[in-house]
Amino acid sequence: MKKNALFIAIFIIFFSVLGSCEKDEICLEDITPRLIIRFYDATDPEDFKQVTSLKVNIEGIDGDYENETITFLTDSIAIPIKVTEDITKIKLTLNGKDADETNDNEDTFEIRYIREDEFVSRSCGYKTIFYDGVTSLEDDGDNWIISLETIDTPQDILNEKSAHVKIFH
Amino acid sequence: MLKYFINIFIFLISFTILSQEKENDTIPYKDRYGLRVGIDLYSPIYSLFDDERKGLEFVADYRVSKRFFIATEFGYLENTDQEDFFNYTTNGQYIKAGADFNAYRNWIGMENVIVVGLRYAYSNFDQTLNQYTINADPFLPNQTVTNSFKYDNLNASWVEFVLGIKVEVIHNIFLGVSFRFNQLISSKEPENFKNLFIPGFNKVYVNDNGFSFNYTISYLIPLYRK
Repeated sequence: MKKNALFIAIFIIFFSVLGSCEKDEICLEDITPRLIIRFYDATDPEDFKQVTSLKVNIEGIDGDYENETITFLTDSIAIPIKVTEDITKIKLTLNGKDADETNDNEDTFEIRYIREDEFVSRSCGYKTIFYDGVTSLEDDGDNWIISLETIDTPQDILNEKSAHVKIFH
Repeated sequence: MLKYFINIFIFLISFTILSQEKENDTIPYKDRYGLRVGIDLYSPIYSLFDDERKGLEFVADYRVSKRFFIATEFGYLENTDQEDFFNYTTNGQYIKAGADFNAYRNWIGMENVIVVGLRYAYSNFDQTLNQYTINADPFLPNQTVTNSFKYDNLNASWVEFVLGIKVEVIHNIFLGVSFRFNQLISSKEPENFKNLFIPGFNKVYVNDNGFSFNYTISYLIPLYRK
């Protein structure tokens, strides 16, 4: 009977060890790519040019979009585009972040695309990738953006490794 | 002629001594050999509390030598798994076959087993992606897709390294637990999804491996003694 006690002890240890097995995975792969925009100098189209105190809004979504690319490196920014619709309207406001409201200049452009959902992994789930992106800039009579173009025509947005849109100002 | 007679006499004596030695040193205990059949208790008990897992597994082993058994497990399983961004159901059946080695030297009359074993396993199943939420920048409104996608006729094969014990609690009734490390060999993957759970294998982790286990109750049908 003492020998059986040893076995029963092993049995109990098995139960407790197996009960504590938990998954521990975090999402490290790329998820839905954002639109990467680089700002160029309109007078010298080879040079990057920063935008002063840029404010970013997405039509239909409350609040300013903020991330570190907008706060610190304003010659290249990343903006999410809608995964619920085939069109996203983005508002870029020059001098929008400073206290002076009289110097604000809001320009709007839209991007149209075809969405496709792609499986990534257990922890990341699905991401959306965008094909055949086409942009157009709204003319409001006082554009600070001189021109806007995609790198490819049409532009696929599959990852965030390189820029998708160039803005000359 | 006398020489031959003496030789035969010595030969016969040595024979009787040999046989006597055998009788004195060996206890004529004979091990029981038989077929042990049982079921896994984990899935049936689990499904009483949670309907995310329904299944049944039968287990059997047959003793072929003092320390070796041939062993099999087969069953079916329907399992729903909730991940951070999606939810899916796997449904299918599986069979495993291989051998167990008893790493435990029993006292006379005891028949407990410390199992060290190996299995080859095969499963065919289908996966249903019930719903998913696009993993995108949290600034965007959520996009949850609730259309379910079913992927039929999938299959997988793998090997299992088994560690476990079987204890005779009442005469001929054994309680067992086994822990298995699984390594996938082949897998027919669905398009735009992945076999993240396979019946019999359990969750498939990175590097195509995983862990499974069972808690069994089984009955030994004694067939002969050796």
